[in-house]
Amino acid sequence: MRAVRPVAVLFSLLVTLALAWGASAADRLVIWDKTEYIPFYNEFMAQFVQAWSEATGIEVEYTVVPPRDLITKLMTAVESGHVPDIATVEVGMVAQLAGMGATTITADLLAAIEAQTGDRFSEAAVRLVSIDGQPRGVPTATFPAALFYRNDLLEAAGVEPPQTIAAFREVARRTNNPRAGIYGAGIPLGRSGGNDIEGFIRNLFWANGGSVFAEDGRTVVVDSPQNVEVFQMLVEMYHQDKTIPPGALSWDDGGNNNAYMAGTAVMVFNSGSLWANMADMGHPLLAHTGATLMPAGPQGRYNLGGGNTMVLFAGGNVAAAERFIRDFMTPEHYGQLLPRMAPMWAPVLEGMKDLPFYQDPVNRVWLEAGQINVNVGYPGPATPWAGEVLSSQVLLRALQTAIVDGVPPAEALQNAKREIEAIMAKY
Amino acid sequence: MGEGGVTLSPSALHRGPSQRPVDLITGLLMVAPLLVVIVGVMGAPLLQAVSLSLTDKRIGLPGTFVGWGNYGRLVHDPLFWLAVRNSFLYAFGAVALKLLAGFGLALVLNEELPWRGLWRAIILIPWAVPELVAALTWRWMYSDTNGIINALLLRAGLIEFPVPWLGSPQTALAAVVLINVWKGVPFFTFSLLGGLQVIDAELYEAAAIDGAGWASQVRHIVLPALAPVMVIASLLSTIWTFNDFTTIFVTTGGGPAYATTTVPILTYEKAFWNLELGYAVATSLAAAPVFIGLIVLATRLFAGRER
Repeated sequence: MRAVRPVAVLFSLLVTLALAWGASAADRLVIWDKTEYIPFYNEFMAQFVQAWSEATGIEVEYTVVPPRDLITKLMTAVESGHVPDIATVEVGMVAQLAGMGATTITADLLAAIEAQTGDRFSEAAVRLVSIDGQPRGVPTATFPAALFYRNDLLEAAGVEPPQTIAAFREVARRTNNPRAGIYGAGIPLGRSGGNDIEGFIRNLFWANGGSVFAEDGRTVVVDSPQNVEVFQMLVEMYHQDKTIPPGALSWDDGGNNNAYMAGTAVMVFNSGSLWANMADMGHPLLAHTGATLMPAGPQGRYNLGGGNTMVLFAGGNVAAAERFIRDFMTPEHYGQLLPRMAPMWAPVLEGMKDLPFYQDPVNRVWLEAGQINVNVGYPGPATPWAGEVLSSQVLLRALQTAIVDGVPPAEALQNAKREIEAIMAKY
Repeated sequence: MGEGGVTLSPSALHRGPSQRPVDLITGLLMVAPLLVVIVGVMGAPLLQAVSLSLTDKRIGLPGTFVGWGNYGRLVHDPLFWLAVRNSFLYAFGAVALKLLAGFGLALVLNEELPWRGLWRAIILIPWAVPELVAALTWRWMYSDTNGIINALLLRAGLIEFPVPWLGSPQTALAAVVLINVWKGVPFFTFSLLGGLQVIDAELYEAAAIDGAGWASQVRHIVLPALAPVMVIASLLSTIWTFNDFTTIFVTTGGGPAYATTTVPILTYEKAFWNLELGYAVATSLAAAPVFIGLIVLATRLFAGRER
């Protein structure tokens, strides 16, 4: 009896642990979300997660992380093998995670959501999260970007909102007044790890007929004459025109927002987050703010597409993760969230473009802005190395050496080319 | 020895407990938990880091052994040497200023001041403020578009245009050094204040009777008495400052260009932006000899003080 009792206790313990383990694997979901610029999103998601967990009986571990920290956290998680089941990431990370083989292909899930909602994902949104033609996440928002301007200051200077890159430079010059602490062009040039400036440089490259990669996605053409022209213009805007605030070299992605709202920048490029935030806080400058599409170059208008994507990790609780996302992407939930996130968020489901917000002619710009979005590898495909070149801020660092160290733009871009080729050699 | 006492032979005096097997085992058992913790928490990760630095490991992908390849690459990487230079300028510049300011404040706070307790509490505030909060606050204060420093200088007529303190390669490193100094001065102040308070007052009285003035007393009494505290505080602060990441990352991100890129910033960029884990760990470990030297020095000084 004495010998049997410990064995029985041990056996019970093992059975209990096995059951608990089995239960935890099937009935537990780990979600990492990002802090959103508009606080309503995080409040909404916290409530949705709790309600969903109660309704399904699946325990959810829901963690909210600032976007920059989320990158570090995810990289560490992939390396250690302790990944969440779902993470909401910006589209720039999708290629990198796919390149590591960390995330699942979501074609079936997208089809299931379309069948469930009777709606269709926009091609542009799916293209942004597709690697080698296969979707690697569920897009939840695209970030339409625009040029914001102070219409009172433009009017005072007798100029129209710029529609071309050349006009943008000229308007910046005409409205510049450093003595009053007002600068024509609030362009963030700091090494913050954010992607605003990396996107902005690419937008100018594409509009000017250049790019980082050729159509094959493997040939690096970053040192083209068209790109040298863009670098030269930015260097001149900083040093000669003095339309970019000197301190912009230390700004992060929020630097231009802050400068605009402080009334010290006449024009800034941004996603709709600036507009939404000003509306949210009832900012007095909103009444003097206009928004227009990114200025065009000789080859048209472009914008590096940004947005949010829910990615599912291979080996995780994929069934529960798919169920969570399906339940989220319904008119009752996603449809409620979207109007509060506009115009920072543009809808990824075609039917939701009919929301009253987008019917207002003033707000049509946000839908039009979404039409010029392209992927990080454009004109080639989105590739893991294109994603790494973006996150490594290769272009910004090259531009900084041209502005700060006086390296000629052509040489700065040749250096960037070498760095990009070194990155590609690792894949 | 007196009667009834124990007479120890010279050999017995030199024979430590370790020579008795039972004592040896007891001693080992007593330090075993500590050894397990040190080996498990520090030794094993360190060994893993060393082995990682000998591979071309990238995040999410398997690595292959490259021997000393990463270290060889470091030697020829001008960015690494720039980061080393910036790290030394940042660490030694900040520590020197913290030592000077801390010494001055300690001398003042050691005097019979009105509301002395209040002043001491105020001096402690920077030390108590979280590093991230301090860095964000200073970033705003330094801003050239809406920062208070430029606003005050402009209002005083000392500058014509706002100065991009964090955006100019001429001022960025000095600006981040100043943040570190502001944050670290209380540590020096209170370390040195503690040292000042154990100096026997009679020494000052005797010196005064002999005609020594304030400066002479500082030079001949205070400085020799505080020298060990100064050295130890400086060594510890050098290690902490050399490893400081938050201040620079939040305020400049290592820029403009590479004006404030230090070894920790470079390590982070290589690991999480370039995903080159092996090379990043090699970057970090390359600075290890500096720390080992400082730690050995600090340990010897601590041991010397205990004796």
